[in-house]
Amino acid sequence: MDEMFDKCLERLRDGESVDQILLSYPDQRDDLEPLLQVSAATMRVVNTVAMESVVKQHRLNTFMSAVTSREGRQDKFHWARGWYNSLGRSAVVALGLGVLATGTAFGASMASDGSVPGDPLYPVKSLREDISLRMPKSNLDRAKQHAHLANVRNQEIGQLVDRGRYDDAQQLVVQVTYHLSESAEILGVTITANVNSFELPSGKVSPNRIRSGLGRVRAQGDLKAPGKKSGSAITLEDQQKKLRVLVEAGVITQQQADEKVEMMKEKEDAKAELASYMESDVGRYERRGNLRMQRMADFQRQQMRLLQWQWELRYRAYVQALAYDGPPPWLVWIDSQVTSP
Amino acid sequence: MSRGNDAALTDEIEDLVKRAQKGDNGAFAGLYEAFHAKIYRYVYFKVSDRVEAEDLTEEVFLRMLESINSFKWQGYPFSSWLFRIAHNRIIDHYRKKGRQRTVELDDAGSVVGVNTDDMDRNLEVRLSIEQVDVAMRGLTQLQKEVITLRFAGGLSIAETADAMGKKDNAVKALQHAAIKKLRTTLPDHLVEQAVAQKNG
Repeated sequence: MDEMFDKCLERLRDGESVDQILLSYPDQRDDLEPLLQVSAATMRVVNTVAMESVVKQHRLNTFMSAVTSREGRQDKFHWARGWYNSLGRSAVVALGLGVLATGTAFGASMASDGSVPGDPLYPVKSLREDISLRMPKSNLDRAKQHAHLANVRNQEIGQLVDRGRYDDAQQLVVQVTYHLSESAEILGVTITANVNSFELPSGKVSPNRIRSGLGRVRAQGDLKAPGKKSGSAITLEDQQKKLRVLVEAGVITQQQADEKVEMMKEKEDAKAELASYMESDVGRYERRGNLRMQRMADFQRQQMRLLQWQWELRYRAYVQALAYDGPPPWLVWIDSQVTSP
Repeated sequence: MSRGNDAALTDEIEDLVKRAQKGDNGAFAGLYEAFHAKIYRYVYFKVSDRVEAEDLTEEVFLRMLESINSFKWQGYPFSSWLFRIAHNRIIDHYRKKGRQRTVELDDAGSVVGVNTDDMDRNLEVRLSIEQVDVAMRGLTQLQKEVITLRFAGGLSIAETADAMGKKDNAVKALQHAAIKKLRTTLPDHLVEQAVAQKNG
């Protein structure tokens, strides 16, 4: 039925009327007709949403200005950030300095450390994080900060489960993915992931189902990790060989080749340092998380385990991406088909 | 749109992306034109606020500009990649807003831009959009994601599946369940209008 309904929807999208489509399915007419009518109504209304033409033109101009100013300042690995970001960063830094200038705000800022979404001080925590990400610093520092924030979100997941707020905890997994993706992307690694990939079961699930679910998550995480596709890895050594050929052929100068190798080495060093930082940061929180889990009731512990597996899948893909011995960029697919195991 | 047209469009997008990756400014304008309306509609139904949707749509394209060279043709379409950027921007947006997941349409002031100058028609369209938006809030997150990607974003089943990291069959099942649910939440007069329009 899903398949048949989808075929009908495709025909609806192609401009056929509900009646025309139903002629092909006389036996299913009673079931299909109301659903197709609802679909047609929804499509019709959704398609009326459009940006006002004046606004659209203005936004297009902004975009094309960014396209034009991008020329000449973008290096191969996208380290450069544009004026657009710089302006935004300056504004937020100024705001942050203003906030931190008062003792009260500073106290509130520190007290917000243990807050979770929904707490009165959580917006202060979010602001501090935003400032920390936008303060002028190296790309490696920014990548570390995103990695750290993924850990902070993971801690908040534990705190929320502790309070029985499972839906809110589930939402935070999406932000874990976001921070890990951002962290990797700063160093040229694109991690694609499904951020709405699972729903927590509302009731208790048998341990066998949980175990089989975990098995699938792990298998998929491994299979889709980088370096598994044959022939896709190009090592630094391979790259150096290629550059030597290009220098000998007179395509590039020795200095250009040296600069390129230096840049690749710097990037590899940065990735190694980031992976090491992430490992120690995870370790800092591990004991606290384990203690919290021991205190939990059975159902809470089950929900926590499911959430932790979602974390682990993303963390493992992230670490493997950083450990991959080849030049960026590349892609890591996190195929999280597992819904409630 | 026929399958042949879909294939031609896919080729055209691929060509635009490759040219954009080489720094062709005109190709960026082409990609903007091809996806802007779809991304805006998708974002709008996620945030329910016109100005926020405009800002986020702009951010999506600026992000595309920053990272287009990291996109590789490795078995999934550019549209899925772009909608994933949009999805991540929306998540970031909610994080910054302190998890205020919904903006009540009544409080949102100017709700949405519509392409019509007729005041009465404009009002009617805005009301319809608001009713669809409210009806969609009855869907689960995944169901809503499928409907916004399919109907607002105009993605195919395969593209939606790639954007969500799901299998095609799972997306079809979610889509079917979502429409069944909308049948119970969408006002009857909207359905009657659609039927009347098709017949008349």
